[in-house]
Amino acid sequence: MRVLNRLAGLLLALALLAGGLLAAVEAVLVGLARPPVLIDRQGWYQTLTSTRFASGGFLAVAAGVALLGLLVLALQLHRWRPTRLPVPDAEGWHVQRRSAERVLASAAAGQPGVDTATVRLHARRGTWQPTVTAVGDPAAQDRVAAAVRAELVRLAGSSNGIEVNLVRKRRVS
Amino acid sequence: MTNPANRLLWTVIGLALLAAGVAGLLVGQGWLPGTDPQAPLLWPALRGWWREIDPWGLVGIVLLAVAMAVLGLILLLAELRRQGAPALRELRLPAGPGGRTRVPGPVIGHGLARDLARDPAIRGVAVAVTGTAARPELWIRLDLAEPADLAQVRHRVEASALARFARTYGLRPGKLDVTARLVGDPPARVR
Repeated sequence: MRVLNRLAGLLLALALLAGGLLAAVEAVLVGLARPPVLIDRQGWYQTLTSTRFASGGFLAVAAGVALLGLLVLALQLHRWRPTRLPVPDAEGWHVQRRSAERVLASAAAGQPGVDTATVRLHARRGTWQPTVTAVGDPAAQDRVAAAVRAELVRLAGSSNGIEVNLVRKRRVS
Repeated sequence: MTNPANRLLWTVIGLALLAAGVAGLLVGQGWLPGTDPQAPLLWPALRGWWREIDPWGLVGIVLLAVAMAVLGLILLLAELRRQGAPALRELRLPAGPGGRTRVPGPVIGHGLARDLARDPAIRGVAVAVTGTAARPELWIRLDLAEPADLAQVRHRVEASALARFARTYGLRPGKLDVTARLVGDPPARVR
């Protein structure tokens, strides 16, 4: 979301700059009674004086704008996951969250009977708490937990609160 | 522009879009008192008012358009500006018998980065030095080759590279911020 926000900010800035300059030039040309550069003045005037607020086109645009606003608001107000997690008992030290999740997922997926694994890491009360979701033999649950715990100790020095969800691989008939 | 500033900007834009869309729907449905859903988007009273104030309406449009372009330029420069605190430009070491030594800020960062890169577990380093000469702040990004023992790396960095940094410049960093990224081994080359 951070990168998307920055890209959207750049696009908005360019649109404001280009749109503002174009509108200023076109308005000056109207004042000088000269032909337009890009904007079809007559066409726009016809559309804006013939389209009614109750028309389907206007209502559809208004609904689209409202939905877009709602989507933008939801994306901004949604809780963003941190890009890095503080290392417990190591002031000033952090680990990039995604890289740590990748390492833990790799440890889980490396266990016999496990096909794939994903990990979501949270830092709560000074410790890292991973949630492992793996596909494979449910009997491998303890092995997965032990492997993830060992990696956690190596990275964060502690291993509290590991949650492992191992689901059986669906058979394709 | 910082991430929180961008987030605030887009929250405000989201609110404005939502308000504009809902207002349009209310007018279109005739649910907003004092509005006529059958009126055109440029309704007659608005067109009459525009003719009355001529040519000031056009002047207003030009001023608004220029303000919009200036706002766009300000936003563009803010988005392109480097984030974070400004880099430390120079460090002046205490005067000795041979005179006074001045070290440019980037040299300090490069020196520390080279020192850190000698650690076998560290595959990539980026160092930024900010703050003041009396209280420099160190921002370090490390790429650690997997499997790396983070506690050992931390011990080596703090006890060796940072200790040498403190000895060389005669000062301890006021703030240390290290972000480690765990990177896998590069794929083996097949001959």
